[in-house]
Parts: sequence; structure tokens; C-alpha cells
Amino acid sequence: MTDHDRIEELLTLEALGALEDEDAAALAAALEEHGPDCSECPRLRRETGDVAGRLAFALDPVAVSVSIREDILSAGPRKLLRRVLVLRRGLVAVAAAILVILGAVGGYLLVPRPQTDLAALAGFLSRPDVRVVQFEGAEGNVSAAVAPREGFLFASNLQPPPEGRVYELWMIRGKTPVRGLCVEPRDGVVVARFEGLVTASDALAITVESASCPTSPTTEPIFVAPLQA
Amino acid sequence: MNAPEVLAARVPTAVGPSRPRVTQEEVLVVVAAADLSDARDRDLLRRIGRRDEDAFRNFFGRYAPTARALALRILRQPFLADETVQEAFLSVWRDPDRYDPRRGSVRAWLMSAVHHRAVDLVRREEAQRRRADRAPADAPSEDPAEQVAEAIDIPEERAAVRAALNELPPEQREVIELMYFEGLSQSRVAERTGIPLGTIKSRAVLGMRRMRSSLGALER
Repeated sequence: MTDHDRIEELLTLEALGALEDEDAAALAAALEEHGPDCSECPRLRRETGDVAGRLAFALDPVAVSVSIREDILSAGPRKLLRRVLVLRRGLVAVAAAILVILGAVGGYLLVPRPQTDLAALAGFLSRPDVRVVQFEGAEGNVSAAVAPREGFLFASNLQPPPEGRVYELWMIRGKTPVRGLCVEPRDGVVVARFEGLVTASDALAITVESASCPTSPTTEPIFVAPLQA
Repeated sequence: MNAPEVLAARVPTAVGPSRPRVTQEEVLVVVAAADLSDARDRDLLRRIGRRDEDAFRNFFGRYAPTARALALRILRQPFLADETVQEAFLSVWRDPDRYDPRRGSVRAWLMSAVHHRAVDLVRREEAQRRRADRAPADAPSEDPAEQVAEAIDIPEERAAVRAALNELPPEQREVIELMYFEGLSQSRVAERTGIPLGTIKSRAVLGMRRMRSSLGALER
């Protein structure tokens, strides 16, 4: 078997979706070895990929569901894309909640400690007026599910704050920060409810504060999530 | 019913085993039609790149029914198929420049994207799929949009691909169908058929080579 026979075999399996990890590594290595000057490798890849893609046309077409067709044809891709992104972020938040519900992690410590009702949390996420926003900033996946007068903060893979410090959430309106809650992750996870004029705020922000939970921030935000588009 | 019989039962009825071999003229007609069609697809992609929603709707109307057929065949669950199709088309909207003409036709690129997503999903959801296998497959819809889609689709392409597939020796066709339409990896095909892995690979390569030749890919 020549080099190109072997590469053709691997490219065929790749195009048919049948390649396994070990062979995928072998294919990558073989293509790299041949380098960009090989004219045969790209030709083989183009032809196997093209024929594999065209195999779909052997099937009888099946009408797309009415809801998706209406979404695409009526609302258009821009609106649909926005909806899908919001839904996906919501699912991330739900997944984080389920992790906690299942007890896969040790839970969380709140300072002060509101009694978080997990059943209420699940119900909250299913409410039509709730949307999910993602924070940008330091290391960790941090999201918030927000409604007009309350919200839930979700986080995973969050680094512990320095000794004796906590994370504090702020609702920022104009230049005024309003205290949301203080949290300390356990095993990198936080799930906590907070109250306030949440969606009327311009943004949510998280700072590192002393365990006394000051009423105004004393440090720069490490996470920020804009609320107004 | 053994595996080849099951596969034969799933082949679209438009093409039967008695169909004559594809002639050279037929190949040329298909190649010319496919080239024209691909030029139109590339134009649609360029317009999508300029955020032309009408071009996107046109592209969607042209290929979504085939994309859904493929996703449904692999996933067996209509809601997962819908999600896969929606994701694939939104990905085209987000970034049409990901299409690389050096890698083949636009429609092959799109269907490969649908296939890739569906296979990824099915491998993550294998347990779920075993349950779905016991349920009847989704019946083709009577939706009038289907006829519209078929009318504006590429009938020559559809006929040529079916003919090329039907011309394969049954053992090569079986391997290709198990990999592509069932979403099985090479090892799973070997397990399912009880045939050595090396033989499975050879059959896949020989079958795809014949497909390339039949579909005129080598001349393009």
C-alpha cells in the first residue's frame, strides 16, 4: 500500500464519518508529512468529501417541520440566531442547576445565607420572562438567569476567592451599583438567588470583597454581564 | 431480514435494482447540471455573506429537505433532526466564508456539515438511539413544501447518486450505507457485520472510488 493509498483510505473513512480517533491522528500526521506542496492529497480530500456529501441526495427529501420553516422563512436568520443563543445559554444554566440538584458537588455557601429553594430555581428557569446572560471576565463560567425583580447567579469552574474574601454581585444602573448578594463557591460552583430591580439595571458585575459584604464595591469588577442590548 | 435486505428496503423506491448502468452521456449531463447548480449555490453563498436574507431563504428552501432527510436517517428522532438542520443552516448564515471551493461543491459541504453534526449527536446519544430504533421511523411528511422542494431541487443529481449507489457491489454499498446513513464507525461496522476491519476499510475505499468515477468527480 502506497502512502497515497493509505491516505485515500483514511480520507474515505473521514468523509463517511467512520474514522476513529487513532486513525484521525494517523491521517493528520500523514497529511502533515506530505506537506502543502503535495497535489494528490488535496485532490483526494476534495473528491472523497464531495462524493460523501452528495450521498445525502440518495434519500427522498423530507419536509422541514413547520415551526422551523416558519422561523427561518418568516422571522429570518437574524432573529432565529438570537433566540437559539438565548436558549443555549439557558440550557447551560439549567445544566449547572441540575449538577447541584444531583449533589454532584458539595453545594455552596452564601454570605449572608438566603434559603435557596431548588424547586423554585427549576420553576424560575422555565418562566417565560426569564432570560439568561453570560458574564465575561476572569476564569470560570458565570451566568445569571434574570427576571424583572429577581435572578439566579450560576457559576462553575470558578476559582475560590482569596482567604477571607467573597465574591459580591452588583446590579449597576447608570453609575450606581446596588448590592445583589455575596457568594463563596464550593468546588467551583455557585447557585444563588438574588433580588432587586434586575432587568432595569444596565449590567451585572462581580467584585472580590471582604467577608463583611460591603454595601459599595471596593475593588474593580472581575466579571461583567451587560443587560441592555 | 439480514443486513443487506434491511438496507435494500430503505433505498428510495425511485431507483430499483433493474435500472440500467449509467451511460457516459448521462454522466456528462449530470456534471454539467451539477456545475451550473454549484455556480448558483456559490452565488447564494456570496449573497448570504452580504447578509441577504432572501438568499438565505432560497438556500434553505433548496437544501433543507435533503438535509432533514439525512439528519432523520441518522438520528431517527424528528426533533433532533430539526435541531441539527437548524444549527447547520444557522452556521452557514453566521459564517458562509467557511466554505472552501477547493474541498468540493457547496451542497456537498452543507450535507457534510449536517452529517458531521448528526453523527456527533448520535454517538453521544447512543443509548437514546437504541430506544428509538425500536420505534417506527418517522413517516415521510405529506407537507406540500416537500413537493415544492423536490421541484426546485436537482433531480438529475438525485437520480445520479441513487444510480451510482445502486451500481455498487452489495458488499461495498452495505459498508458505505452503514457508515454514512447509520453513523457507524469503522469498528462498529466490523462488529455489526462480523467482517474483519481490514476488509471493511477496503470495501469502503473501493465503493467510494466507484462512486467518484460514476459521479464524474474524477473528471471535474
